[in-house]
Amino acid sequence: MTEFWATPVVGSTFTATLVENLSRAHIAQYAGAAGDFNLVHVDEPFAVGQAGRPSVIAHGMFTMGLTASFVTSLVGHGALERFGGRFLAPVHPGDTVVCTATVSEAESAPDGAQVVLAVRTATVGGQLVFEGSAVAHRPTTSE
Amino acid sequence: MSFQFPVESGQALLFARSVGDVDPCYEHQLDARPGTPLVVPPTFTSSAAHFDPESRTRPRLPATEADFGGSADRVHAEQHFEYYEPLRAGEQASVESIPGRTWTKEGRSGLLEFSETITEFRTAGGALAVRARKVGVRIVGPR
Repeated sequence: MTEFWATPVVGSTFTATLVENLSRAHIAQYAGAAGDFNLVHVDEPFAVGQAGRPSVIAHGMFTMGLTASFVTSLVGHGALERFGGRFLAPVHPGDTVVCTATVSEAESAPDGAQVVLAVRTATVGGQLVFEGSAVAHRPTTSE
Repeated sequence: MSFQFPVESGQALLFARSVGDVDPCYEHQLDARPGTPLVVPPTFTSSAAHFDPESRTRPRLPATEADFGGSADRVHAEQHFEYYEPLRAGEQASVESIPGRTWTKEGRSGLLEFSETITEFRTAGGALAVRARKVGVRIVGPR
C-alpha cells in the first residue's frame, strides 16, 4: 500500500501536474489506446470547420484517465470502489493540466479504512475541466 | 447492445501509457497466466470500444465512410464507474449497455437533451466487474 494510507486526514490536499503542454500526438495516442477516433479529437479541419472548436480537443475520458492515474498513484491500484465526475470544459493542445485531490471523508473500520477524495482538474489558466470524486478502500487484511 | 471484450494485459499497458500511468506493474503482468487478476487503469473499460460493433469512432478503414467519426453536436457530460471484481487475463468479459434516464435542461446555447447509458462489464464467470454510467448531452436547438 502507498504512504497515502498512513495519514488520510480530512482536508489533506495532494496536487500533481497531469500533463504539460499537451500535444496532438498525445491526444492521438489516447485515441488509439481507447479506440475513440471521434473526429473532433483527431481531425483539425473537422474540429474547426464542422464542430466550431478552436482546434481539436482532448477526449473527456482522456482527462478523466489522467486524473485517475493521479488518484491511483495516491491510493494504489485496486483500491477504488467508485470514481466519477463531470466534464466541465474541453482541454486543448498546448494546455497544461493540474489535478488537486482533497480528502473529504476518512473512516476507519475493523475491516479497513475508507476515504473519499474530491478531485478537481484544471488548466493552469484556471479553467476547471473535470470535477468529481473517488471512493477508495484499504482492507485491513492487505497490510 | 452487447458484445465480448477480450481482456489483455498488453492492451492494459498501452492504455495505461496513454493516460500517464507508468507503474511498472503493467509490464510485469504482460506474461500473466490466463485467469490471473489484472491491474488495469480505472477507466480502462473505455477501451472496450475497440470491440463494440456499433461504435462509429473505433479504428477502422476506410475512415471516409459516412457514418464514421461521431457527431459534433454531442458532448460527454459525466462519467461514473463502480468497481466490484477484477478483470482477468485472457478472459472474454461480456459487455452490455442499456439506456438510462433522459432529461432536458435549458442551457446558455439552447435546449440541452441529456441521456444516460449504463454499461455493465461481467467476468467470464458472470460476476459483475465494473458498472459504468455515462451521461451524454446533445444541443437540441436555440431557445
